[in-house]
Amino acid sequence: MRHGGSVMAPDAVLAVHYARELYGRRQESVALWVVRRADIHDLADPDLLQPPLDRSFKKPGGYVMRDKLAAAREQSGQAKPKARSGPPTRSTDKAAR
Amino acid sequence: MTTTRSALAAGIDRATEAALDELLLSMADDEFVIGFSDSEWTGIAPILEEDIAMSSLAQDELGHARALYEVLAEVRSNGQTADAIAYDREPGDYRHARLLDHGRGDWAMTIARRYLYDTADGTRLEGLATSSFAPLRELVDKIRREERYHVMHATTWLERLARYPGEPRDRLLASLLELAPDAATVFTPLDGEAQLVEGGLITEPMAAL
Repeated sequence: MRHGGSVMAPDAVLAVHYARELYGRRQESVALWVVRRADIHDLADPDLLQPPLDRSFKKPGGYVMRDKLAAAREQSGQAKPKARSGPPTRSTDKAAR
Repeated sequence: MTTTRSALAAGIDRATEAALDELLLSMADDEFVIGFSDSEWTGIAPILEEDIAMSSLAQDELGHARALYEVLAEVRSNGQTADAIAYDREPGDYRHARLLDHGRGDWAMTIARRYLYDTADGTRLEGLATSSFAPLRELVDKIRREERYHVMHATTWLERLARYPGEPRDRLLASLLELAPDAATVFTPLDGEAQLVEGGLITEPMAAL
């Protein structure tokens, strides 16, 4: 979902018509939501959204699993699973994810 | 005068082809003329949003006109292009309904004309939805999907003008009164209409619609 833009209209019905013309007439939309400006509640406090401390540990990319997995395997005596033979087909590739 | 028949007209006798020509030309001219009138609002419509909406509606109508002229050009298959059919004629040779001949007028006139025309055109298109002439039937199916929104737009505005006493309602009533005598002209019988009905190209005579 993406903010398309704003329209000026006397009521909701015409607002939807105008949204369709301004943001949908070139087939660039598959659905439109129109709300009154007064009904939008916003949050723009940088301390709440962009805190100054390091928050990288909250991102999934913050972990490198390879070394931890290797250590765990060594501890339990399990071998690393074999790599698949041959190039993955589209369906098995999808299933593997 | 060419004697080769177009692939589209194969299986259609000469008299029916002439009537089909008349039907396609009058429908295309209707869409062309209302699209042209509505395009005159570009830049001067009541508010910016409506300017874009009305311009977009006008483009839709011109698009329908072009598609109909293209089918007609293929039926004729005499080397005449859709553009040539649309533009290379004397004013008196245009076959659009008299309803569309009142000029742009004010906003109320435009809404009144749109409402009357879209309603009538919707009925006409419905009658063509099961036409035995496939190119027209397939085109009508696409046109009807766009016209649904046109009716919504015209109805929305008509209701608003009618709801508010004073200038909005007065202007709307004046426009409707001026257009009323011509409201049914979209269904003016065509020359050779009987052949179209007999061949299943249209389901009912224009007057019955």
